[in-house]
Amino acid sequence: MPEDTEAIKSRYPRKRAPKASFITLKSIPFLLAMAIGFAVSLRLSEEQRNRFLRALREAREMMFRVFV
Amino acid sequence: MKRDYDVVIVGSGVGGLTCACLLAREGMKVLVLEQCSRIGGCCSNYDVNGFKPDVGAVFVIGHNLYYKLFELLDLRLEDYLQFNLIDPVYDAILEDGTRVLLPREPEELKEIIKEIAPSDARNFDRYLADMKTIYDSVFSTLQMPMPPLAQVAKPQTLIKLLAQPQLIRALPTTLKVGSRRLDRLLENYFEDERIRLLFGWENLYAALPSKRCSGMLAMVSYAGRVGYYYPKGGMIAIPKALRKIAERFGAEIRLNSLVKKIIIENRCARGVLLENGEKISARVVISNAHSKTTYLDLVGEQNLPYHVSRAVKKQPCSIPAPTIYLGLKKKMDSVRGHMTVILPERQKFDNIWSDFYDKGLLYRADDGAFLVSCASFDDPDLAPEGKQVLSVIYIAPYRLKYHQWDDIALEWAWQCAEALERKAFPGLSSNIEWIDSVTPVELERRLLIPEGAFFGIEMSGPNMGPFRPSWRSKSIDGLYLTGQCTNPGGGVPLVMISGMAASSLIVQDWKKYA
Ligand SMILES: Cc1cc2nc3c(=O)[nH]c(=O)nc-3n(C[C@H](O)[C@H](O)[C@H](O)COP(=O)(O)OP(=O)(O)OC[C@H]3O[C@@H](n4cnc5c(N)ncnc54)[C@H](O)[C@@H]3O)c2cc1C
Repeated sequence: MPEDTEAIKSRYPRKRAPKASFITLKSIPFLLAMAIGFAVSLRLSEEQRNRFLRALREAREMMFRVFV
Repeated sequence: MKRDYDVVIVGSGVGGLTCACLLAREGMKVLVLEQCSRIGGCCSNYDVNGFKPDVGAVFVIGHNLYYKLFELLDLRLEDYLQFNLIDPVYDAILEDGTRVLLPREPEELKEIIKEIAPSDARNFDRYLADMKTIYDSVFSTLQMPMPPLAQVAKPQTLIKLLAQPQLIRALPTTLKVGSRRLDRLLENYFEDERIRLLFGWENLYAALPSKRCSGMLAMVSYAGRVGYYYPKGGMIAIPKALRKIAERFGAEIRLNSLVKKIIIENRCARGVLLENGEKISARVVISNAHSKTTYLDLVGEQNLPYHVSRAVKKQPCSIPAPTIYLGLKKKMDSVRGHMTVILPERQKFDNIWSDFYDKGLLYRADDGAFLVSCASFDDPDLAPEGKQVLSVIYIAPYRLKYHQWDDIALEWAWQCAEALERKAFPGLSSNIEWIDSVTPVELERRLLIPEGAFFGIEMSGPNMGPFRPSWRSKSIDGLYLTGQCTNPGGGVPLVMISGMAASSLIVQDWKKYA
């Protein structure tokens, strides 16, 4: 006797439809910060931009240093 | 398991010897291994035909901290060391020919400022008041009795220290000073460029340009008002005192013993391997060597997680402070104090970093900044009778773009001597009996300090305190570090703090190894 369709459906739950975009809500602040950072860096003088990038690099290295 | 020693210490710098004293006093069996024929590392001296100039450190700053170490050892500092006050603090020579003896007494100093720039005499009071507030607040913490060794490196002790009411009251001034760059801070106090330079050249001690230094560095200059000292017998008197104490408590010190490897098994330090093949086992290994040497050479990258070797490799060494040593045939009247500082104008001074250091170039000796220390000024025993000895400290790149240091060492030393003759000490060149030029490369060879770095690792904000390698290794069990490359930083008193903290952690962890 054929199984009823509801039973078959419950055994093979439908996969959720793939998301329309990979940009989740969580990543929005990060992307926003990048966009602002980029916009600000365009307004900086060469020296200020170098200092800004250097500070970023330092901040990245400092994260490693605390584990030594 | 039976081990040869409880603790093996690699290096007999101030950090290593501080640990040796403290741990031997706790009853541990301690061995110190030093690759040189003398103890003390950068806080030591040479002895060439009776000329005994200091190797690196040339004066005692923050003497209160030395007393704290002796308090922890339950000994009296005066029984081991005799500190003599340095006054005048500096004989300062500026490019425009201004030459002044800077006294320790603030009121006398104010009179001198009045002569150079009358309008800045009033500003000096404001400067002095702010510096005093900060200095007194920091040193109020030292009024607290030392806790037992095991408690020294506990967070509670730090909290107690930081909760001192005077420290909290001084917070606004500390923030005002600390949040500014050194050059900007001094612009805020003084109008005359020469006065700014007289109170702001100490960025040389941090081995950084003033625009990369926090205003807190102005405290170094203020510390001269409180008192710089020079120990009887030269700076080596300090490691000698520590050695005496360590040996009294049963520690052994072996010279001419180069450690090739720290023996690591399953990420645990088990002892050391010497150059001659001898293996010495220990429960705990303390390294007083440079952090790059410790991790990359002695431990070996294969024993380290990736993030550790990466961080160690990328941490910048401080600028080197090479030294020229001069033995003089006779005493010179133009040497007017223990320390003479010769400064070019501010812009040239700051440009040493951007125009020369970063590009690997040597400046003209006439444009250089020099700190000349005369060890025999306060202690005539440090030179043969009637003679004098000078150490001339300057800053220069480790790698030269167009030269090899070994090829130019002597020629450069003579150029510097001639510049000093023109600016400060007439007749110097013809009065030289012995000259030795310890370039960054030579310092690296003699003391195994990578790049001959002044303070091991750069003394900038992102490389200070917790951003320097920790006292207790986070990747190798049983390995501890002490010295100028570790938290909090370079300079003898800070190194003593690192020695006390590393020893405290070992005592705390001891159950694990015993
Ligand atoms: C030119 C100059 C001037 C200075 N002036 C001052 C000053 O006026 N006042 C001040 O307070 N500070 C000053 N300092 C800084 C101060 O001297 C140092 O910060 C301090 O002495 C460093 O002590 P440390 O314990 O880190 O060890 P270091 O002095 O670096 O000693 C480490 C020891 O370990 C040994 N070692 C290394 N590798 C091995 C190995 N594999 N096997 C065996 N032994 C090894 C070395 O030979 C050395 O003896 C100055 C430094 C320099 C270079």
